[in-house]
Amino acid sequence: MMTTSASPAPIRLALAEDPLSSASPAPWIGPLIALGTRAARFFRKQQGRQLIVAISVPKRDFAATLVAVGWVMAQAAPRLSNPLEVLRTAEPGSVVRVVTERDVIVDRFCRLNEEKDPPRLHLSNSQWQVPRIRAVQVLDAAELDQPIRMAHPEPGAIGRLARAGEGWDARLAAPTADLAIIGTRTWLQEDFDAFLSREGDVETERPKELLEDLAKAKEKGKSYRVTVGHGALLDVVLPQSDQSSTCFTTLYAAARLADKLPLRTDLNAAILDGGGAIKYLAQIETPVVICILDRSVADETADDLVIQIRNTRGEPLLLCDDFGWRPPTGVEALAFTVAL
Amino acid sequence: MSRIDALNQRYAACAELVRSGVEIVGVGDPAGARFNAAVRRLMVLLKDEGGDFLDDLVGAAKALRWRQISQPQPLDFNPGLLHLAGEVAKHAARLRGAIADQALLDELVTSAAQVAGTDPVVGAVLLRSCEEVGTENCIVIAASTPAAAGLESWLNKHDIPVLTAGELERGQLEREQAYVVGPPRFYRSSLVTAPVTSGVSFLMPAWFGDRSVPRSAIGAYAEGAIRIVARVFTEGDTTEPELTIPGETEDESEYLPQPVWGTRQSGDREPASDEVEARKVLLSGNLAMWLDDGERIRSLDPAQPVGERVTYTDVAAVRAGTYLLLRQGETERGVLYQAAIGRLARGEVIDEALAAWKHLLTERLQEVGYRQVVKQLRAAGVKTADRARAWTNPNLVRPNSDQDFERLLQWLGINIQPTFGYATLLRKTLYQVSAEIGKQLETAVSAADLPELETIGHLSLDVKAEGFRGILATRVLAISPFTEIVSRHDARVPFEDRSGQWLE
Repeated sequence: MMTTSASPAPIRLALAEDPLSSASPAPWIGPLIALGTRAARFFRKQQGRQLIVAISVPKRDFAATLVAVGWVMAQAAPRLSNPLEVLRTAEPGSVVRVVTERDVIVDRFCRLNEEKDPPRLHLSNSQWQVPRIRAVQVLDAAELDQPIRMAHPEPGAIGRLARAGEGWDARLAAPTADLAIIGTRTWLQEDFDAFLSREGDVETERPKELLEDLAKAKEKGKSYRVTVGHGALLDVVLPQSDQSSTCFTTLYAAARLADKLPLRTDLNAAILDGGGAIKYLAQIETPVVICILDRSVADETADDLVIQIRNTRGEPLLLCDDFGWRPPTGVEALAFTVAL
Repeated sequence: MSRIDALNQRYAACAELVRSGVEIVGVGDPAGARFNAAVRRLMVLLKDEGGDFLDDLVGAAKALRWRQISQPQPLDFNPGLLHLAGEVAKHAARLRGAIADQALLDELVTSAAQVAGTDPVVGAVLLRSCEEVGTENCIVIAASTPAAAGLESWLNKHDIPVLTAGELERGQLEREQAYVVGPPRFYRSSLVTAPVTSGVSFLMPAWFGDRSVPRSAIGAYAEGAIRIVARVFTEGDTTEPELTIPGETEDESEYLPQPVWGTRQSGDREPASDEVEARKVLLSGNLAMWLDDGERIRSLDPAQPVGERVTYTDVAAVRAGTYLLLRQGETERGVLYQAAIGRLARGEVIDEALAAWKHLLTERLQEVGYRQVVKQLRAAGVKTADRARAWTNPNLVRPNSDQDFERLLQWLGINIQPTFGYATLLRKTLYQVSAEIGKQLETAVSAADLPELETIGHLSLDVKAEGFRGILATRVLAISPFTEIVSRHDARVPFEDRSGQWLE
């Protein structure tokens, strides 16, 4: 095989199951993230029809999560006014999301005290020096059962690769939560706990939250558990939960999906991980759908369903031309659009 | 090995198999070839003569042929081979005088006895191959759970693990070479497109002609499609009887053991209002059920983790191998519907409003027929018009799509509101009830012995919820190729049935 391209060797990415063990590089990690990114770009360019992409992988592990990471990282950061200006116009009693260096908090706004130097923000449950606030957003939600405080998500190596840098805090404050991930919840949550890095890179600066939790676990003799703020894939996927103060995605268990349809209409994309999720393909109306077919499962019902929709209602696309994306070795891919 | 390293190995094994292909070894088997020739003649006779009187002989002959391919262990470990040869002789004797070609019956009996009188040659080659590679480096893959059990009784003595393709997926065996018993086309493509070992060899009798390797289901349309080539070898005495049979089927799957379906009895009429079109579904445990094209059915996926095993499957997606959760004597959908109506403040009004549009739709179906209704609904912009008959089912609350439902009501000449609102409210309530029952079933399933379910095929579950005693988890063995018209009351209720007796 010959390659005619003169571009430099692509960056190889690596995954690790815990933050201290060495990461295993693999040629399929980067392309799966890239697929999510390309799908997000395609979505912004062409609307009006539903895009369906199906890839088959030797085994489902990590595929949906990596595609989700790509989708999330492709989102543009919103332009937010500086925190002091936002707080000056905020109505007392309104619900705000506040991003600081260490936390993301959703709480009720009480008042802004500018008589102090530096100015001070009073929430129902905590107080903050305004210069320590990186981003703030007033939310539409009128109801709030209780304040939520979550560690500041750290995008780590992916953030550096995607140059998320400055926009990250604005995104945490005013997130675009337009992606649904549907599959086996337990397996997806295991996937979210993996750590991504560039091949050969040694993580020099670890998130403080991670170091503290590792120390705590060691002290108590308990096993370490990944949470938001540790720099795992979880920090980028940021699924919605009762304990999350900000989120980029909504996770649905395929086994319970039948009782949840139709999906929210503000979702732009859905990743269907495995046959249990793909069987609902005809009932998913998000503008973008990405199906992960697990070839290690003998049941080909999901594959047949995708092909049936492609052949009866679809207009095929070429991923290599229309997306500029080629599947890595071991991955098959097809794409088409259907009328919504 | 970490999960990521194991996954990496999986991608690598896939790349390796794409590069080197799989090996197919056809082993010369003169006795088997002779019996195979007789079975092929019998199949042509079946096609020419028709009728059900040949069913048992054909069933026994196919079962013996399948056993030769799927269980080539020596006779000492293979009592089933002798038993099936006896069945062939028994049913041939019963047909004596009933068909003109007596010589064919004699040939079937003689060649079956010959097959059952010598150790299968494929078995010898299988054992030798394993020993050459080293028994610690290889695994043997069997086509089904009964076949795995048969082979295991023999190969265990040689410390060679035998697994079905499904078990292979769950195990953590690190082996280089897989020997697969039987031709590739009897296996799902996952065996070669998502291999666990870097080498895969299929062993089969040389008389079995079809050597095609299954392709991934999306391969024909995909970029980066995985195409696995086969390197075919033959060994031993591959002489076969000269045989040209006019009108013989090319489709190997016709030779697989099949249930006795008979022919459609219902004629070409439309079902009455209390009837449905339904396919017979054979279930493990000598059971069967009429499955109508209504709402999705509660099912169980043992491969999923605790808490996510109980789910729903669309009727069209029910396949051989699907595990269904059935209530003995009653359907879950009826119970669900009544519970949901009972919870709603104006339940009776809602029930009547829904009955009204379903009644109108049923009338239209009877007046102009299903095809015409679908055509008219399509013209009215209803995308899923082919579900028209399913929508008459009282338990299927409304079409999934809002747009389809609105257009359907308009087409029926019914005001969209309040019917639309009622149906949507009822659906939401049904979802709640169904989710609650789902949780109870999930608890019952998590306490059940799932390996036993997968080995035996069916299992009674102990469900504590009211009205939910006697839940049966059972595997679908086969689905009838044609529908019958049955009473709505009988649909989805399991009953005793023995038409699967010739299945493995």
